[in-house]
Amino acid sequence: MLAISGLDAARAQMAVSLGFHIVFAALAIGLPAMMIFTEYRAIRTGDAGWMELTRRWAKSLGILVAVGAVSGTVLSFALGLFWPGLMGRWGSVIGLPFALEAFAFFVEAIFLGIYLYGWDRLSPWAHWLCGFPVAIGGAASAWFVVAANAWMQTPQGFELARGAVVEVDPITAMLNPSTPVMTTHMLIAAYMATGFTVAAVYAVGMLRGRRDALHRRGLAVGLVAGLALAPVQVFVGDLAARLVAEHQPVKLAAMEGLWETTRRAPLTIGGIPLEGREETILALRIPGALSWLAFGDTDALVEGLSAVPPDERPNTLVVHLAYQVMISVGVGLSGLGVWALVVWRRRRQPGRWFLRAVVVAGPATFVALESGWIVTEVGRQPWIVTGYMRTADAVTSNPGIVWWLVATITIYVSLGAACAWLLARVARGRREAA
Amino acid sequence: MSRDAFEIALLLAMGGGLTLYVLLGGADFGGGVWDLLAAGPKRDRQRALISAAIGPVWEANHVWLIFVVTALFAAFPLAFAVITQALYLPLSIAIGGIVLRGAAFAFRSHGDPDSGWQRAWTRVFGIASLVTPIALGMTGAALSTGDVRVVDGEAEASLVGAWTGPLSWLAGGLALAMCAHLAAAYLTVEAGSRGEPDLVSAFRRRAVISGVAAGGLALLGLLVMRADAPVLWRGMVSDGWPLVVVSGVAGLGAIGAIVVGRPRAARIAVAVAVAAVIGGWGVAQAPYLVVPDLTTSDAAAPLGALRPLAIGYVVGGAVIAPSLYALFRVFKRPGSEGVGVSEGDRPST
Repeated sequence: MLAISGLDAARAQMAVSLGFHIVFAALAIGLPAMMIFTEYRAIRTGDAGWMELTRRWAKSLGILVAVGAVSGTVLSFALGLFWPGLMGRWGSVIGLPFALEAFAFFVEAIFLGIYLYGWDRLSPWAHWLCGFPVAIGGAASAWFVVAANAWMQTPQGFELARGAVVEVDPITAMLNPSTPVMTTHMLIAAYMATGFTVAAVYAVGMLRGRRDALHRRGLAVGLVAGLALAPVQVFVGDLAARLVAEHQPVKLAAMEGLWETTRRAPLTIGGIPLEGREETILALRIPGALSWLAFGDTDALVEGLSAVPPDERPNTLVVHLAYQVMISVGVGLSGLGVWALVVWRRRRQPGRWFLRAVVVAGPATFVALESGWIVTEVGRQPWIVTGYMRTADAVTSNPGIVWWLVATITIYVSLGAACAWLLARVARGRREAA
Repeated sequence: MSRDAFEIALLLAMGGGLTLYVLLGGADFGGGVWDLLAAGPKRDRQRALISAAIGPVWEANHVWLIFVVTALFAAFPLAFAVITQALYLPLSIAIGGIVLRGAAFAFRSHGDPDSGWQRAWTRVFGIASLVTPIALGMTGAALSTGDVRVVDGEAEASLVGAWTGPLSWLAGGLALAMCAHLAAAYLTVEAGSRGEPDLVSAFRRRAVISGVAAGGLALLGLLVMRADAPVLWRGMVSDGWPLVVVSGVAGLGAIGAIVVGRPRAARIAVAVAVAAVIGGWGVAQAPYLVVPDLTTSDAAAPLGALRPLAIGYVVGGAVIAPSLYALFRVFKRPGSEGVGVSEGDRPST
């Protein structure tokens, strides 16, 4: 294990840190939005069941945001600890969204404190209103951070003179071409992942025979949030792919496992890209479909991986497979949406197989979310700032990064397990009346 | 406005953020230290008081650190890169502490009372609260001693030696003592508002002990500074001394106020004393961010970056100032502590 290079260790460290943080971040964005709805129902109807649901979610949110806040702090330091080349040279260009993110996080943290501890100190409606800044602050945080990442995909807003950054315009940098679509794609993903995860938790309870109002409502709120957004996400995802086609053709080629530059390029479903042979085997191909999806014309020319030298290509196997996983989950969730419509039209009680599908959908949404980020980040390689700086030129020269990686994995596995145990306990409600 | 003016404005914003982090976030770490040291028959009530005091505010207080870090890398990116490279080890320790402290605090407030779960996370919470301020204090001192050099825009420093000199150890100890002192002073007030006189006297005693320790370490630091951080010493003698005086007077006043039983006055005096330590350090070190190679203007981003950042800070400040006021008004105004124990303070069972 110690044979791993500093660059690989730093990349793995970043992947683990981001992959861990994003689970908590996504739930911290989604849950408050759903609680605004359930608490509204509770106050309007005076129904204690809705309040019980809100309180349990609040308890989970407290745990999730704590872990999300500290794991996010790791990332803000990690940018400097592992990527001094990125920060020292480009910090002035992309510092703005990070600095503004601090304010968004402030708003979220301040009102979360009031929300979690203020049940008895505020009137019901004042308490309900405090949910809004929590939800908005969380979403705004994500927007700023993803905008900074979008800049790494499509950098702009600076001028170079002999390799040095001279003129900077951080607002142009923040509002780069990738920002609108990437931020929207991520926020919807966060709401969907939360919705399906909440639904999965209550589906588990219902499969164990707890079909009370609390479980029915939890399932319904989660499913409605997740399923209503699924078609929107298909549309936004399509925009995201076109954006990649326009600005990062090599990434698109890797996503598709497309080696040769082709007219009437096929959409590649499944298959395994073989780097040595420069071909993708065992794939199903729909002729012209990729050209049409990427450029709206079945005869459009789509650039293949061979258009750039091998040292400018990302790991095609990883990017292609991650992309297939994300798309498969998306298709599966759309299928679940159709099934849910059928269930609701025919009878009121969801059946066991439907509930089992919902149980799978929860974690599957997170698998899709993580896969999407693998596509985005691995697909950007070998660049840290696309076209301007290679990841290898930004990495720290400090020794012992591998130990950081070992420590991170150890701590995060422990925290993740502890957190899962605690959340399951909150979901079961323990002694509280359901 | 010129680039210099923006530089100074952003430096002041960052310094203000750092001071607030120490006064608020530092006290939360100090609370963790007292939690770790709690023993005897009053142990559980002390811990309950600490949890109730920290619970609603620690996350908002923690954001001041994010504020400082992001301000540093947006406004002074070169300094951020140099500091994170040269002081990679103490910062890593601090980050580990920050992660474990926050997670452990959230975890321990759930689970069965006095279960193995709670005992384990309480221990993690306490130890992480003890280690983090020491690591951050040692990091801070290393910016002043001249052990971190900058050559062609790259950091050059001994991996361990740069942050383990005499002044660094003293600064680590001082940071810990200040956090403990702040926490004890604040907790004295909280205990009084909740009508727990025996805890008031317990934390009064702790406030005096930690205050004396902080004062002693600060004086020792001044003595060591002359040899270990000559640039800082000269700055202290020429510009920083009024703040040293303020800190000394406020520190003594705080201890006096605690002894005569004026906890609210003591709380203010403690905060002034600690803020003056941070302020004095900043004034003495100016114009260096990292002594002796990196000044504020060496590290500052181009004007094009500083201007939108400053505007962002004004707008952002206008949003969070009333929000923070609301937070502290709901939980920390006189008498508010007496309102029944709320959901979050209670173990989940």
